[in-house]
Amino acid sequence: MESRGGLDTNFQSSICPLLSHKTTFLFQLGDPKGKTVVGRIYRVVDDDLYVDFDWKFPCVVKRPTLDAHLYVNNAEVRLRILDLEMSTIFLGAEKETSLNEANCVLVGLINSPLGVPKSKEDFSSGFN
Amino acid sequence: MSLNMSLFSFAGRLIGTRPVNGTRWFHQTKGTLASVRSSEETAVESNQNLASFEEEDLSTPDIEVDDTLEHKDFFGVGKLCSPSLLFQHKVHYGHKVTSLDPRMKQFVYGIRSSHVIFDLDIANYHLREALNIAAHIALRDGIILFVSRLPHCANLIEQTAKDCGEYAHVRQWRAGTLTDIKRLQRMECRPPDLVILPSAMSEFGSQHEAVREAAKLNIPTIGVVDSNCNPNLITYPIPGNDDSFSSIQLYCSLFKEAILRGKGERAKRLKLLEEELAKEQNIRLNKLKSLTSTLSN
Repeated sequence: MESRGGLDTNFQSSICPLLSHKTTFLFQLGDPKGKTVVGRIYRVVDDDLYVDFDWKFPCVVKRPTLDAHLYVNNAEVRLRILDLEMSTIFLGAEKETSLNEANCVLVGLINSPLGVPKSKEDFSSGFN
Repeated sequence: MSLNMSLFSFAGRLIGTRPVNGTRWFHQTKGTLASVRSSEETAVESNQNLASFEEEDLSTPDIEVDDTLEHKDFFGVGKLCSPSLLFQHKVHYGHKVTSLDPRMKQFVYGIRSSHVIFDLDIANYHLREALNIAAHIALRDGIILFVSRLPHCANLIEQTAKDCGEYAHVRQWRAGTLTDIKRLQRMECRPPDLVILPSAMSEFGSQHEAVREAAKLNIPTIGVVDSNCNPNLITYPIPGNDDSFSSIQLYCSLFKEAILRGKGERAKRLKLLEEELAKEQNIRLNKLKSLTSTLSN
């Protein structure tokens, strides 16, 4: 076994059981592209919603027109992941440039501190 | 009278209790002692003071800290962090594998969905070492500077530095802020004794200028290096996530705790030292008093 930063290498890495845990993001997801996840809005700047979904980077989405007033801090939203990190190696560059952002599409609102989303109301009334 | 004076100064030297304390302590106690004693005694004392003043080395006394180095984890900072705690704060997430710096390979556990995952045992080991160093430097009254270019964490880092009585630089880094400190500050300045970088990256995705400047000045650095950083110039690199707010929060709270532990130990030892010095001074004065009374008789 190769040496690992001056550590005793006789034991198994303690990250193994942590990673295989059921709730771990990214490891129960499989290929993240196209998967739907739940995120929480933690900052609103004009029409930009900063959503944290337990990943290294947050994602920034535009505020939709439907239920626009309900998208406030601590509102839970549903997101579809396109890319976990928006980064690329530009032509002529040696290093990769990253926006430090994930690329996601806003699917809808789950709940908001300000009230029940309209689309959800319609949905539930349709059943009754 | 002149004979008397020389006698007394001679007597003072005979007793040989040249205190280990410096001038700072001396000036503090002089006022209180003068009020108690008679004027003649004060004159004698001041002469004595003057005599010893010349012999005194002007360095202020400092606490003994050598015994702390024998202990492997003197401040108990090793118990502050564990792999599971690091995992909770998302320290294991790295950047995409296409941006992996080959010098960071030694810290990597594996790759998942084209993202680097750090080995948290290694990260924990390095974080512990770094916390230990920070606490030791705080114990030795070193100046600690937090440097980073993280707009979303700037407030947090400044607040951390404020809480532990140290300094932070989270704004735009002007070239020579450390190396040419005299010109930029327009006065003589003492550079920091330790630079802590919660993120070793600058805002443009290159290495932070402070790393190179600190390396030039031989100032030790503690830096969190993500998978796209170069750990070579950093004295104590910590592999880990430097983008998430929660992981920066974790680093800040851990370093704050370590520095406060170092400072607490320093305060404790300073108090002991002052008590010891006061005791020594008292013994010395008592000896002098008894000597003066026997001589006058």
